[in-house]
Amino acid sequence: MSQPILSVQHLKKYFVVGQTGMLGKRQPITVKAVDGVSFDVFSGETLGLVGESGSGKSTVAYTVVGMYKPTAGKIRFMNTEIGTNDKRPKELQKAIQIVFQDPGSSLNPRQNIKQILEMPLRVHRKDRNRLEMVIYLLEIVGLPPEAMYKYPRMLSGGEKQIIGIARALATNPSLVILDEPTSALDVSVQAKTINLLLELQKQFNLSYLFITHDLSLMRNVASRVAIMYLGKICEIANTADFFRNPLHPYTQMLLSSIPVVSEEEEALRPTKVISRGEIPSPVNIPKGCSFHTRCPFVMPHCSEVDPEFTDMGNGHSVRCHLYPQGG
Amino acid sequence: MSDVTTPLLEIRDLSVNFAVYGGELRVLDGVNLRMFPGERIGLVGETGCGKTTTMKAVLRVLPMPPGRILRGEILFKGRDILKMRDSDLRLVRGQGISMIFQDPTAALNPVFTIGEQMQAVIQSNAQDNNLSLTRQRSWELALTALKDVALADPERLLKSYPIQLSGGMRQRVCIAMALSTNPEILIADEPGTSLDVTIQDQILRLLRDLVESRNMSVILITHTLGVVRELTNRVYVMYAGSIVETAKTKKIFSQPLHPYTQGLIATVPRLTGGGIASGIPGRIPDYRNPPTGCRFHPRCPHVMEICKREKPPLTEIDQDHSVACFLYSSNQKVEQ
Repeated sequence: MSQPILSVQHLKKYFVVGQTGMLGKRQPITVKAVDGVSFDVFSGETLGLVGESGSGKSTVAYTVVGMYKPTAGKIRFMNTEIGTNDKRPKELQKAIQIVFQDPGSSLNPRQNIKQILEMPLRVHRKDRNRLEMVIYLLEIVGLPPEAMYKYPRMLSGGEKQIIGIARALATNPSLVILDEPTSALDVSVQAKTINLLLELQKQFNLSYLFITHDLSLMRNVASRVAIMYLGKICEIANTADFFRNPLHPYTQMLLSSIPVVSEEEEALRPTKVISRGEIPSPVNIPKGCSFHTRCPFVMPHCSEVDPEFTDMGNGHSVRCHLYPQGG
Repeated sequence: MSDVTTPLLEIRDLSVNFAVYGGELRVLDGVNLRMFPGERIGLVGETGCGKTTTMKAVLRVLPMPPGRILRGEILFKGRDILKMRDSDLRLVRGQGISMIFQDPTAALNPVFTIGEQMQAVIQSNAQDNNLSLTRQRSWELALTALKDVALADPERLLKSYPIQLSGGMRQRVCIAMALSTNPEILIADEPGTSLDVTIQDQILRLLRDLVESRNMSVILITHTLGVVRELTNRVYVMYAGSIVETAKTKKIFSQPLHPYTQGLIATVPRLTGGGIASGIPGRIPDYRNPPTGCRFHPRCPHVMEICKREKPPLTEIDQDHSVACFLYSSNQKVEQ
């Protein structure tokens, strides 16, 4: 396969959220939001990063885009190391853009659409005629030029998110991180937004890191899927392979929990794993495999030893003691 | 008491306006809904279609003003809720109809313990029935209610504050509270939406078990079609303030008739893949100035002249399957 455009290796991001203990013996309380995550994104593909709240999927996104500095690990983008503490060069800043989850709070309510779209142009594309660029950006996302004089409150949720997408494209990026771009939208609006994203991907050869908790959506947009649970990836595979043969017990639990609308889909859901237990707090992650508290196939050593990734072939890897290495 | 032929709850031609700066929002435009004992109804529609407004009107908790009920009746066992005296209304809210809200965190008071809040519900319901309960007795009733929703260690929970519980546990507490007075109808407004998928699955399975074991009637408000399919046996589809289609749940998914229902079902991403349908063109109308005739006509792929002038009535075209669309009126043949 070709060179990955983005390569994340053993990425860790810890947050200090408080302190315990008496004076003199203070210990920081850390949340291991991301704890050793590795994945590649190839040019022109969509990698889906799926997980529930607290799994660290948004932290991965924010670290890649540069909003957080990694605690440890490497992020390579187009063969340049970007996970360092130094300020990221401007060319790389503009090559990675992000679309946020809530379009209501990610657009400045006091600026009109023209001002919102001009901001990235002012910073990154000083050579271009800004007005022409704004009109062009609105055109590629299917909005009329008049829309530039509107304010965010005059737009519907779907249109706001489309402006968020146009803003991300303003710097002509090669990697766009989509952080739950449609989870605040209704299904019919979601369909329109997703189809727009897929068209834009083809038109501009974009690579997407698509973050979501919706597996049925992932089935339809991603070329590969990675499942996260409490800061770690537990399974990664090609989409078709993944849905045909989910291996990790957590993946099976997720799949069996999805409400579906047809009998064909029902047949796809694993039936043997029923959701049980609570998601542990990320402050207090269980020892060993973090899923052992909810796993129906738990074995004695699961609570002691954290499993390693096992390559099941065809790019399908799973991190579970049920699939021992070399076995 | 009530036999199967009289509806437990019937909403007739309910129309509600909201006064806003510079005009009125015509939000509900003649909602009709009938519920028989033991039925599990799904009320489906997109954000802003009036699902929650309808249910708030049923419980008479709509803020008035700005809300104003233009016309319509809400009959609970044959008596109009909108015309009830306050003391009767309290009884309906206690043992008649209970509601579970979307966000369990907002539904619980953060400064009282779970026990205090549950006891308050149980005590006030007892008072409405002219009974007096000892503290001890209401504590025991709260304990049983928590056990019914499969919460571990209920004694400790009763002494806890909402912030000490996880989202899934809070929603279970809300369900326990709603069921503690043994209501005849349970209204659940997006009960799992604010929760994670695996936790939502647990809550929905719990709800289904409780409802089935108590043979309770349920109205589930949601925009997630998959949830409706798994939990209900009849669906009402709502668009811009009216019911556009109703049928048995199976029928709605296998044979949707209204163009809006068809579009809605087609846009749900499938686990089987195959891409996502292009969605329904346009957007939900401005309630200040809604489209004339059928409110869906500006977005409808099959729009006809009559649709722009007249509002199609909800007509039964097949057994237990009604649709408000001129495509299916007398002289047109039903196409599928």
